[in-house]
Amino acid sequence: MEQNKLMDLGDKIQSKTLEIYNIFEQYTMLNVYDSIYPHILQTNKKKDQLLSIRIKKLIQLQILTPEFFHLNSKLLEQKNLLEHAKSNLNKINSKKTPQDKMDCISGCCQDLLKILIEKGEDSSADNLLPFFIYTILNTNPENLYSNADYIENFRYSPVISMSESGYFFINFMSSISFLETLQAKDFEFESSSFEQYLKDPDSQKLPQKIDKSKSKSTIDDSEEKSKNVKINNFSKSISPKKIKNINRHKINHPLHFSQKINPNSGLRQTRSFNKKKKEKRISKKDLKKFQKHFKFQKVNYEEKMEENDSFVIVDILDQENQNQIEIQDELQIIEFEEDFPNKKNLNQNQNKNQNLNENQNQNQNQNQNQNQNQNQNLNQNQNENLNQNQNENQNQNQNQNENQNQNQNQIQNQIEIQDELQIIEFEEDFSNKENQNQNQNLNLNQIENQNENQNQIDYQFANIQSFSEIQPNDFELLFQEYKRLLQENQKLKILLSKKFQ
Amino acid sequence: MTFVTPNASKIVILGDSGVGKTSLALRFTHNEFHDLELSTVGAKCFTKSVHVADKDVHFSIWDTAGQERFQSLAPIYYRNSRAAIIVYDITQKKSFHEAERWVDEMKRHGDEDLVIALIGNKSDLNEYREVKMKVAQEYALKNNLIFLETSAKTGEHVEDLFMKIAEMLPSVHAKIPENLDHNFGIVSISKLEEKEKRKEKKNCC
Repeated sequence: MEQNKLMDLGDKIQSKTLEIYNIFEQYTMLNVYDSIYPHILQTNKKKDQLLSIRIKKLIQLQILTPEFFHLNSKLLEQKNLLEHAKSNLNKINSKKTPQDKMDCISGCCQDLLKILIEKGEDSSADNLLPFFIYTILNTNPENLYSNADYIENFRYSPVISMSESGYFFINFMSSISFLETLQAKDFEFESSSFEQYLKDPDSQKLPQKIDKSKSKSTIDDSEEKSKNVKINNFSKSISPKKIKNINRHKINHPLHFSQKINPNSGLRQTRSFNKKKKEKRISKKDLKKFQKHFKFQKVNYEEKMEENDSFVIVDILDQENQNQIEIQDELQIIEFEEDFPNKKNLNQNQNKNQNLNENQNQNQNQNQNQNQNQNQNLNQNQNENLNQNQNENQNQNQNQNENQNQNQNQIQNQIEIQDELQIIEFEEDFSNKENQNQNQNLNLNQIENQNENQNQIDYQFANIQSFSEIQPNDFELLFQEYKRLLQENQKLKILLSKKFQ
Repeated sequence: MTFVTPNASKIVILGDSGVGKTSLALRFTHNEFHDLELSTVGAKCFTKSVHVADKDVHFSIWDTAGQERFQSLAPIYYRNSRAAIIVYDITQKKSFHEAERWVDEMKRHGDEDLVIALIGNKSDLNEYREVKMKVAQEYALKNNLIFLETSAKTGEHVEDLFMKIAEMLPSVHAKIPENLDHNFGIVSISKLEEKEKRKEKKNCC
């Protein structure tokens, strides 16, 4: 029992450290958002567009019905909750920080779980994932890819891999990749026409269905079809020399021969981090077929090459994108480096102000630093005021500093008291081994008392609701609190390991 | 709010649909069992902490969807996990073959020190048994797996399963770091270095 109590305490401390960490993250991401997010949108622009077109087309086809997902029709009757879930998902593009975006996703999932539970359905992952995919399909929010990318790269990684909201986020990721890798054979469509239909925003030809009698000879069929089609976009722009390039870039074009021969190859491609996987190469048979196909259209090839060179352009675009990504990465790093030193300077300067309250020179220094950080909302407000009335503001600053000092003193006193308590605990622990039971009970009570004190401290910070109100001084307090919690956590661990060895 | 620690170990539960993955996790974390229609706890990341030998282990147990059409998504779920529980139903032979497939996949794509457990669930339905215990046991011995037959309904061997996994996980010792500032980012550099050293050794051989 005592063991469990101690473990619970550890959990509480850890959740508090996380809360403080979250405030830090929230604040920095709010300030950095404008300079980072546009880059992410740019790098994922292509993927976002393709995916949204694909989803629209899938809805037009009416393949992904509730029956396909084995969803009970009862579930769709609860329109209030369903719409609430959808609106939660749609909010994702209006939120700025990764935390808020993740909250949108988990809010949506929790609404869906409510529906499942109310309707008496099995609420395990077996039902949640298809239901979630179905709602994403029907809401189709913009920029799915870049949102996922942003969260994955800028949220504290243990939260993603260990917590509940992280679990829902992973569900979000996997449903995106499900929509991306849907295969034609699941719906008995012919694969090349299916893929083309999903790529072109304007095409209105429905994909052809496979005749079950001819399904074994699909390769020959498609060859004949391609001869009948006047000139394919793909065949115009391909010369025999570029066959090697196709192989290297592994572009998933419907006319990619090796794909047709292995109907399962799409499945394997989704497990992309399979390291042992060997590169697929076009076999000799495929090559011959390809060359035949090419000879047939060789006459038109050279004339029309210049007119419509779409395939080659795609190749070059890919390379350019990669270069862009590299450059953007470097830019981001530089931005970060610029941001952090400034903040450090701010903190240092304000420390000095506290010590020497009436030094006006240093206040001016502070002002200069604040001018440098134009991104921060907080400082913008201050700057405006400062430019208007410098004298008044200096007085105000002094007053603020005094108030903050008082607050700080109070909290520091509390922290000191707690530290003393802890030391007493440890002393009691190791000196009185005879009355272990009583002492352990006492210890537990004391630790619980400490926790109440911590609640008081947390309560002060909880009052700060809008992040523009946070001042750099508060950050220092937060940081101290964070450190102290880390220390306490370690002490608890040692207590545990000594008691229960 | 669920706790998050850098020492928490993520566990994935894999297996065919209807095998009892969620109820196994529920039995361990909440000590509850519901028939399908009565369950009130939805799919989520179940958490529980355990103290075994001289280490704390914080489990975060991840439920996955078992249907065939979602199998290609599994890698997204089992990334970064330290243990995998592969569940089959002893009253369904088909689910055992699925489990064998999962074992192969985890051996191929999982980390080197991934702990894998093969679990035959629903041992309370012994009358309708289709998979013999000996067959599964021999298979587990061959592949170096933890093997147990459990019942989420009666709770038989469920606790043992997670205790065994906790024992198998590499230990994390509690130490007070000298400079807490360095611990702020919580990135263990020593582990990364070890991995690099291992790689170098392999290259030499």
